[in-house]
Amino acid sequence: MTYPFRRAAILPALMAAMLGLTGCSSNPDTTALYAAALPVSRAKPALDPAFLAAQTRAQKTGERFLLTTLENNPAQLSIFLSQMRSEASGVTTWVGPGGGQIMTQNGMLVGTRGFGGDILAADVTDSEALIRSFGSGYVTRLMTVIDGENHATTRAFRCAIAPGETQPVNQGAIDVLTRTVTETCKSRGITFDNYYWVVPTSREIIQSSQWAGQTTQKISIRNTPQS
Amino acid sequence: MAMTKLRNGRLRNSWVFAAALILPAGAMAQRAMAQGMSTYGAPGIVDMPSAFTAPDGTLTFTSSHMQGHTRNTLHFQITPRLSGVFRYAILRDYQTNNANPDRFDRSFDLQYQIRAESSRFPALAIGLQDFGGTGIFGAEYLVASKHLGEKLSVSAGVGWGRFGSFGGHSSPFGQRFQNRPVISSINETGRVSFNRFFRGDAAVFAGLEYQASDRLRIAAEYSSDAYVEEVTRMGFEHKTPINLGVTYQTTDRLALSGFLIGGAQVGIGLSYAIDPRRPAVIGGQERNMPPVAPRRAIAELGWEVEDVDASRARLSQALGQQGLQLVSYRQTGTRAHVALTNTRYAGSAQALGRAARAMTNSLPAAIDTFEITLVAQGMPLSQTTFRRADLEELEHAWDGSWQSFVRARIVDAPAPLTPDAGLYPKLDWSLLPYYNLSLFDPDSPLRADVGLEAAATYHFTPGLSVSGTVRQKLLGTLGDSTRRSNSVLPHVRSDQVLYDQRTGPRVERLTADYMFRPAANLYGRISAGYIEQMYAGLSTEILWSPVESRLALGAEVNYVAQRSPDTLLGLTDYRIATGHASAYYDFGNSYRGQVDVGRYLAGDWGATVSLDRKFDNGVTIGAFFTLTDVPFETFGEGSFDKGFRLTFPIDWLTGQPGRKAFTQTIRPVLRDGGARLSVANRLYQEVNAGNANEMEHNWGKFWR
Repeated sequence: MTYPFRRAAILPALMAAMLGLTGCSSNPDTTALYAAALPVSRAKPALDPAFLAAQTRAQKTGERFLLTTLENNPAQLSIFLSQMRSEASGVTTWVGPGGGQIMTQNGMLVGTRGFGGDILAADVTDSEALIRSFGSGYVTRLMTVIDGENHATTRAFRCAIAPGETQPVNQGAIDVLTRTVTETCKSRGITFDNYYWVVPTSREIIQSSQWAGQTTQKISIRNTPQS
Repeated sequence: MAMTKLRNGRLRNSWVFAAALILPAGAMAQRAMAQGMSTYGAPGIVDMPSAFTAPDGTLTFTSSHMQGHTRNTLHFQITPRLSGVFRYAILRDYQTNNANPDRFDRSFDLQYQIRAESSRFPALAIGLQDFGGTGIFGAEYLVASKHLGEKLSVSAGVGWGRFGSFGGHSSPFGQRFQNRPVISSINETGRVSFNRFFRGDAAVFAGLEYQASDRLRIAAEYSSDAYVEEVTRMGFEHKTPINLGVTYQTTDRLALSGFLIGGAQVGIGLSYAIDPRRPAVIGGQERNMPPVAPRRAIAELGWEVEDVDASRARLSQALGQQGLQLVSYRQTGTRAHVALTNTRYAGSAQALGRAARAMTNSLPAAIDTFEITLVAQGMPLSQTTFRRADLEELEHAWDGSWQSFVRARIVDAPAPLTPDAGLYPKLDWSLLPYYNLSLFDPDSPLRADVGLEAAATYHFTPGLSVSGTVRQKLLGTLGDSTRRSNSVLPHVRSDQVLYDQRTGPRVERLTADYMFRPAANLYGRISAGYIEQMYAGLSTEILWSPVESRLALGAEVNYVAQRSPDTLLGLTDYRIATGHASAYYDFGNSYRGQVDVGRYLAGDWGATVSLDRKFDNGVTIGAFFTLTDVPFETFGEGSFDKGFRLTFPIDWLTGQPGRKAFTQTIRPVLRDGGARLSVANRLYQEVNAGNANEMEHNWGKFWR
C-alpha cells in the first residue's frame, strides 16, 4: 500500500514548511505572538522606542535619570529615563530599556507599568509630607493595584514613619550626606518596610527602597545627578 | 443625566476602595488548591466526598488510576457553594458480552454546600454523583465535615446508590423509596434519573484527614462503597471498608496522591488546579504605554488646529503603535471624532485608554474633547467621550480608574462610518497552525489533528467583505475512527468522521458577509456562501443590544444545504431552514446566561440553555444543554445534547496582549438532535465589546 510511504516522505517537508511559514499574518501583532511562541531563533529584542527617544532627549538636556534594581533580582541594574511629567499631578513617568515604566512623585513611587501586578496609582501625600520633614507618626497611604481579574483594587495601609541615622549616598564623584527614614506599612495580610534616604538641606529623596506590589515586591531607586 | 445615574448605581459591583479587599487568611471552608480531592475528583477524603469546597471559580483536573480502573475528572466550583463535575472513566475488562471489553463512561455530578462551616457547626453538603449518565457511579449523599484544630478534619455522611452498597440498611425513608431503578439500555443513558435519587439502601461513611505538613496530607476513611461491579467483573477484592490515602502537594497547583482501596487495590493519582483569577502575569505585561502629554507641552510644539491632515497623520501613527487602526478622523471645533478598530487588546477599556492618551500626544492643544468610536467587523459599536482636562487630572489619581469610567460618556454610535481615504478596500490575511480535538471515541479517547490554516478577508467597504479559510491537515488521527453513526435522525452532525477523513485541502469557510447598523441599538448580519465545514447557504441575523443594557435579544434565520464530505465544494440534497430567537443576559459577578429557542439542523424544535462563568479577564467556563421535540429514544445514546466549554484567552496564558482565545467545547456524545449552525461571526460576540457593562468589567485596564 503506497499511502503510508507517501505520507512518510511528505512529512519532514511539511513539518519544515509549518515551522518556517507559520505565524505569518497581515496583522503584525499576530505575527509577533506566534514568533514568540514558536521555538525558532529570533533576534535579540530591540530597546523600547520610548526609551530610545528619552535617551536622545536626555543626552541633549543632561537631565537626571534613575538607577533601579529589584529586590528579587539585585544583580540586574536598570536605567530609567524621564519620559513625561504631568503638570496636573506633579508625577514623573520614567521609562526603562525594556519598555517598563515607573511613576514617581517627589521621589515617592506612585505607579508601575509592565512589571506584573502593577500599581496603577497611589495617594502618598501624607507619607511624603512626614518623610521629607523628618517627622514621625502614623499616616494612611492608598495604593491602587490591578488584580488578576483586571480590576483596579485600592488598599489602605496604615504606616508608621520614623527617621533614622545619617548615611552617605554615593552620587558619582561625591558622597552626599542623607538621613534615613523608615516607613512600616500594614494592611490586612500585607506588610512592607520602605526606606528613604533624604538630603537634609534640599529635602530631596535621592535613594529609596519602595514596595511596588505583591508581584514585584521592593524596587530600589537611586537618583543620579545631572551631568 | 440618566446615564450617569445608571452608572453610579452599578458601581457597587466593580469598585472597592478605601477598604481592604482581602480573602480571609486561613478561612476554614477553603482547601489548598488541588489538595484534598478524592479519587472521584471532588473535595473528599479518599473515595468518599466531604462537605468542603474548592476555592470559588477553581477548575481542577484529577486523574486516579488503579488496576484498570481510571477516573479522569474535571471539577469546577461554579459558585462558592455549588460545584459541578464531568468525569470520563475507563474501566478495563468491565464488559463481558461485548466485542470491546472496556467500558468508557461519562458522568456528571453536582454538589451543593447547604451550610458553610462555622466555629461550632460543621459544613453540610448534599451531592448527586453520576446523575445523568449510565449510572455506574450513581450515588447520592449527605455529608458533614468539620475542622478540629489546624491539622485535623473529620467527615461523616450517609450515601445511597453506589455509596450505599456496603453496610447498607433499607431506605430510611420507608418502603416506598426502597426500589432503585437500574438503567437497562444505552438509549436510556444521559437522562437525569429523578426516580432514582435517594432510593434504595442507605449506608453510613466517615473519614479523617490529617495535614501532617504544609505539603503532606494523610487520609483514612470507612467507605460505604463495596465496589460490587468491579469485584464481579474486574477481579477487584473488597477485603475491608477502610481506605487509606496520602497526598503530596508538589507545586501550588499540582498534587500527587497514592491510595489503597478495599485493602487490596493500590492506586496513584494527580490533581491539577487552575485558578482563573491568576493569569500568567497579573494585569498583563504589555509595555509601550503612552503617558498623557500636558497641554502646555503640546502647545509649545505649535501644531495648527486647522491642519486636520497633519493631525490625522500623527494620530494614525500614534494609534498604530498601540495596535489600534484608525478608521476615520474628523474635527468639529474643539472636538475630535475618531473611529478605530482594536486589533491588539482583549478588552475595549484598555483600547480606549491607550487611544485617549495617544490623542493627547498627537492632537493640537486646542482640541479639548475626544470622541472615540469603537469599530468591529466594519460596524461602529459605541462612542465614548473624554475631556482632555479629565484625562490630565485623573491619570495619576488614586481613584482614577473608576473616576474615568464615571466621567466618560458612552453612547450608541449607529451612524454609518465614513472611512478616511486610502483605507478601503483592504486585504487581511494569515497563515497559522491549527489543531482539532476529538474526544471519547472508545477506540481512541483522544484524537487530534494539526495542520496549517490559510485565511484571507477582502474588505470592500466597512462591513462588506469576502472571507475564505482553507485548512490542510499535516498529521492527525481524527480520520482514523472506524465508528459510524447509527443515528435515526438525519446525520446533521454525527457524520463528523467522514468530513475528518479528507486528506487534501478543505474549505472551512468561503462567505460574503455584510455587517451593518440598521438603526439605533440594532445590528444586522447577512452571510452567504460556505458558512462552515458541513453547511453552505444563507445566514441572516439581527441583534438588539443597547449600550447600557445587560440584556441583548437576537433572531437568526438560515437556509442551508449540507456539504458533501468527499468533495471540496459539493452539496448534498439535504436542505434545511433553521433559526433561533436568542436572549443573552449578563447577571453580573461573572455569570452569563443565554437561551436560544428555535429550529435545529435536523428539523427539531426546542431550546438551548447555556450558563457561563466569564471572569473579567476573559477566562470562560460554561455548560449547556438542549431539549427538543426529538424523543430521548430517537436521539440515542446520551438522550439529549449537552456539554461544557472552556475558553482561555491568549493574554491570560502568556501575559502578552492579544485578542485570540483558545476555546474547547466538550460534548459527552455528539449526535444529531439539538444541532445548531456554526457561524464564525455571530453578532453578539462581535458587538459585546462595545457594551458599557462589558467595558466596565475590566475598566481597571483603562490606565494600563
